[in-house]
Amino acid sequence: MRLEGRVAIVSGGSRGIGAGIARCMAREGAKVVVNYFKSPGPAAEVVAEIEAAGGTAVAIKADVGDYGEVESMVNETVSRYGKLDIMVANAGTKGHGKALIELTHDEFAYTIRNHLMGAFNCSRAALPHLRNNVRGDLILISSRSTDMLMANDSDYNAAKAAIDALAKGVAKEERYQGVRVNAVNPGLVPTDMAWGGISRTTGMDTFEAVDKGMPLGRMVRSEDIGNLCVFLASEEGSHISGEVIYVRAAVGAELPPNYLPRGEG
Amino acid sequence: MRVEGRVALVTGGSRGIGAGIARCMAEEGAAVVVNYVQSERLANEVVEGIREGGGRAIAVQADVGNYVQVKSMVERSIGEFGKVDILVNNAGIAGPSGPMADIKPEEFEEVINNHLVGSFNTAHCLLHHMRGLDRGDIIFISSRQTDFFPPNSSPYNAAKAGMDGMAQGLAKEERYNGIRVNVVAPGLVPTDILMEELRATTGKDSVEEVDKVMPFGRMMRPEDIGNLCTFLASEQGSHISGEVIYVRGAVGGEPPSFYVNGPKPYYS
Repeated sequence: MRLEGRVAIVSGGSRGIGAGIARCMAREGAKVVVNYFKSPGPAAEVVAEIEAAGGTAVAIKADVGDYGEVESMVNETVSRYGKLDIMVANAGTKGHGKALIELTHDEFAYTIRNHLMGAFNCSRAALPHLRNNVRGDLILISSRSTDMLMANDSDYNAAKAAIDALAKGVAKEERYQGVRVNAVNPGLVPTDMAWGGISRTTGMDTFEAVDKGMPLGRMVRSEDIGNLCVFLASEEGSHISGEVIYVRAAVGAELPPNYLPRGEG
Repeated sequence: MRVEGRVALVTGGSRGIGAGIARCMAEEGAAVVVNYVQSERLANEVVEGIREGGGRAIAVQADVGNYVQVKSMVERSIGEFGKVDILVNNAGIAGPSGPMADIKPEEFEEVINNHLVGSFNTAHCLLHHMRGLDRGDIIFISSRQTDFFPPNSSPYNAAKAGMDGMAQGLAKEERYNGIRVNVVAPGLVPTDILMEELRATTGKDSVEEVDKVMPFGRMMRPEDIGNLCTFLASEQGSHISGEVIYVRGAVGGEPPSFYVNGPKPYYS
């Protein structure tokens, strides 16, 4: 087990990519805090699944955009499990999908708050604890979008590009404190958040149908992201820090219409 | 075991980073072809070590810059183990140090031929073979230098940047053929060549002395590079392709002069 004895928080761990990361970390022996904001039901399911497989997990509610709530979550984690040595800042919301000229100030601020302020809050609240251990790991979940920077995506582009920059700079600040900092940037994963767009573009209504036409035989899955997070936080990945690593199955910076399969319609 | 049942060909596998990758691949269950050009004794030692650990390995001589020799190495490897489904392009030589204005054309050509033409040769000899398998992995070992391009290193800069470019395009060409292509770019690994350079630039004399002041308490080791290679070739890394991944301990694009003398505040 690669993460035996370690304690991880996964923000936005109740669904999609976050749930995949939480499961992978628990499977490798970490005690996992499954953070959620609006989905207590799914968070409880992830915890139940982890416990059924013999792991240890707890669901804790916190709005990552609110520093006070994040700090209480971190404190609760430390009092429950004795420490915190892995923070995965994963929580986020969809961008508004509008050109900048149409985007309102509030819409822009909303996306920045959920992604960027969320990543800052999670990092800021966790770092004193991460430094306290022999080793700490901070993993910021970013996006394939930072290499494409598509039109009509300014709020999301800005938030995620800033997260990549945070990871690289903070890695240098913490490199003599034993804290590893990386960004992991998922490609197209069919989560609740992304599946609608994939289904519309392809005209297909099952994962399997889309998988068949994808590079390397399938879309990227939450577990692919979780597996990389586990590797980075393990002994084997201990000297990788300050990197932005995409998990996107050979599509590089290409836009989805370039590689997504198309249905008959 | 991450790569059980697979067969890895590691070029330049007799020493340094290549030997580390060969050992990691074998520990994770792969049969390994340890390629060498001059260091027969060292290659045999790596092979012996793997066999003593219960693994399978052979040493095969070939100059990667020579297409005919590469082709016969590939045939011999497939003859021995039935297939080659992991290729690690690691072989290379240190480039001449000095401004481009003073470098001899033959010196430039030699470095390009080893790193860049050499990794073309091996990949070219194996691609059709790999397409016929369930999965293939090609890993190019590049360098930390492609993120900061130091002066007085133009042959090496050009060779490694060329490698990064070739790998990223190749990943797209082969993405419907089950072949994963990635670049692994090591930071400071204490090989003979590097220690000589550090002695000249920092006055630090031993690996331990440098380790003490490095981020995370030490320079990279060949095993750090090998561990990432086995991860990429494993089921867990199966959807990472077309990437350039540095293993450099949080130094980003900084040249060694920024960190080999230990922690210091920025801009103060």
